[in-house]
Amino acid sequence: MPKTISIDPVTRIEGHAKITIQLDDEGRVHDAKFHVTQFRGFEKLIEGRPFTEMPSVMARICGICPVSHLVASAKACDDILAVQIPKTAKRLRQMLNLAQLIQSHALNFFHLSAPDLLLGMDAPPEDRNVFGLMNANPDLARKGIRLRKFGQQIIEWLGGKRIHPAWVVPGGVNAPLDPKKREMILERIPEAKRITQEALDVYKRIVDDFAEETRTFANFPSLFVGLVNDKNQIEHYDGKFRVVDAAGRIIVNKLDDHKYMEIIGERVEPDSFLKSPYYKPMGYPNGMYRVGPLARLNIIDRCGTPLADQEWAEFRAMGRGAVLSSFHYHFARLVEILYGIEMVENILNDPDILSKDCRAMARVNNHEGIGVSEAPRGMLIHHYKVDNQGLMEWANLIIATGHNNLAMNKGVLQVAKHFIEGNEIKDGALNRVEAVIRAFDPCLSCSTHALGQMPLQMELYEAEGALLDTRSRDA
Amino acid sequence: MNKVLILGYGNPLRGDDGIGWIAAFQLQDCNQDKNVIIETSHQLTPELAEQFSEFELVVLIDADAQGAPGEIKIRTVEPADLQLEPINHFSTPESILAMAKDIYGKAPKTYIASISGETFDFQETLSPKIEAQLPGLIDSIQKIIKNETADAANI
Repeated sequence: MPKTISIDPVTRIEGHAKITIQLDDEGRVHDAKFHVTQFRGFEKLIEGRPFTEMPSVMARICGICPVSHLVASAKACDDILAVQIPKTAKRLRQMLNLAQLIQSHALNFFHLSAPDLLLGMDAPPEDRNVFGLMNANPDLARKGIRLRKFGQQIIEWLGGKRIHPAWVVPGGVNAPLDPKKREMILERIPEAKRITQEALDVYKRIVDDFAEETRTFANFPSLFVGLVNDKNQIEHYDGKFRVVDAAGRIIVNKLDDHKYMEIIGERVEPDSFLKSPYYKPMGYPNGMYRVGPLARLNIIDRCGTPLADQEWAEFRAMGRGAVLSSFHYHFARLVEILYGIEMVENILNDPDILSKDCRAMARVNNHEGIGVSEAPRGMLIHHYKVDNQGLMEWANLIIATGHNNLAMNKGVLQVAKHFIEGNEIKDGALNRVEAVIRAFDPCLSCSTHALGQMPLQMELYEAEGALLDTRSRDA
Repeated sequence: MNKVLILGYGNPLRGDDGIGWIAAFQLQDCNQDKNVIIETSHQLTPELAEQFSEFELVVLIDADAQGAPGEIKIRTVEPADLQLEPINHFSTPESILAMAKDIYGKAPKTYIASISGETFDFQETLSPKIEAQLPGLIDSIQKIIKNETADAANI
């Protein structure tokens, strides 16, 4: 009898989601789906509000990557004002965005993924968590906190607070950089670099132990989409679209971000609140693409900073064209952290960084604005329409996790087919199904929380929908 | 007096989930003690472990999704060395304390002061039942600090 296995909720990702795996009569995996069961509704929430509120409101989409939304939203508002923001403001926003990337990637690597990577996918679930990691490698756990704190402190020092800083505003930033804060950040850069390089060493030592996972974790041809700067280097704040195929061939180059709708379409599936963007010229679902650290390192000619470029060369050597295995998101994340630290140092050494000219003032000059930036998990698009008074009439947000939706679904199916066999679902197989999702580091939302536990449950349904069995991994 | 951290957390755009922020702001308005640090946060994250370890007393203010709306609950939190519940991008108070203890060598005495919420929809205001209980929550937190610190804090 065909059965469906449901893993609900998926653990150690942000937000609420579940995975269903359908078995055929022989107990082989027939299909697998990743469902996002949480509805946010920000696009409707903001209708009728002044556009100037958008950076602050949109930042509330997420408690982990609020800066990404802040930056993309502010860029869309700059577009509505029709201003070119001062160079110093651009550099400061760029640094804020990189600080966000550093802290978010550090959280994923050291706290969410390291238990899988260092303790093994088959380790007991009661050990395979951050406390198991603290027992096995307390020094690494401590360093992970230090690195994340480095990114968080930059955000706090620039924006006034760690989460939801109101410092980024339409037209620039509302205060220049304090010279003391500049020194404080610079003092911490050597330690941040050292920790990241140590983490890279750790990763390179253990990656060969995961050959099977590398081969099967969302390892398939797809397109890769991201932003590049005018030198075709990695770019998180600004830049133009580049799309490469699985062979590494550039199929779209330097597309203006205002033309995103020429290449990106969106499809809504009935079983998930997460939209499924696709590359329009190839149609749905063939136009599946990936974004985020793996994609960004696949589309560029080089990073543009010395230490990150050395690591990037090793990364690119892993694939003949593009690097296809999503297991290497982990490696890519560490390379990006290193890049982020180097770039923060470069920005702070810019002679104009302490300039007090950091905001352009204007009224509504465009009725439509588009802001695109690279969030930790991938490209983030904010698109707004306003009336003559600047009140929001319409918004469309395409978030990083959405871009990866098709690829995550395909990845879940690939892992399930490889590791699940028959009616018995072993912990190791479940771990890997979840781990492939975590490799993408989806951020489904952080909008509410509740006290209490959120246990992992697996439910087994027959074809007609009756519950056959439930497994739980709670206390 | 000993150093005290009051941390209100939650999402102020989700109705009663913002109780931690609102209570923290009200406490800040009357706080005259430099040893009492009052902060807000969207959620609990790992780097708070280091900060927690630097305080003698921590009071967390949060909304509770369980219980009768408006019910005030005060409880102490102990470090959970083995966190069996999954870890999302946010951490639990127990796990933060365990990290503080294991990594930084000290977990402060910690309370959670909470009110059971009624609505967690998109809104920036508290529901009437919860708002009516806010003074009681503030009073409870002030009593905790008074009882737990060597000399009475002006808060």
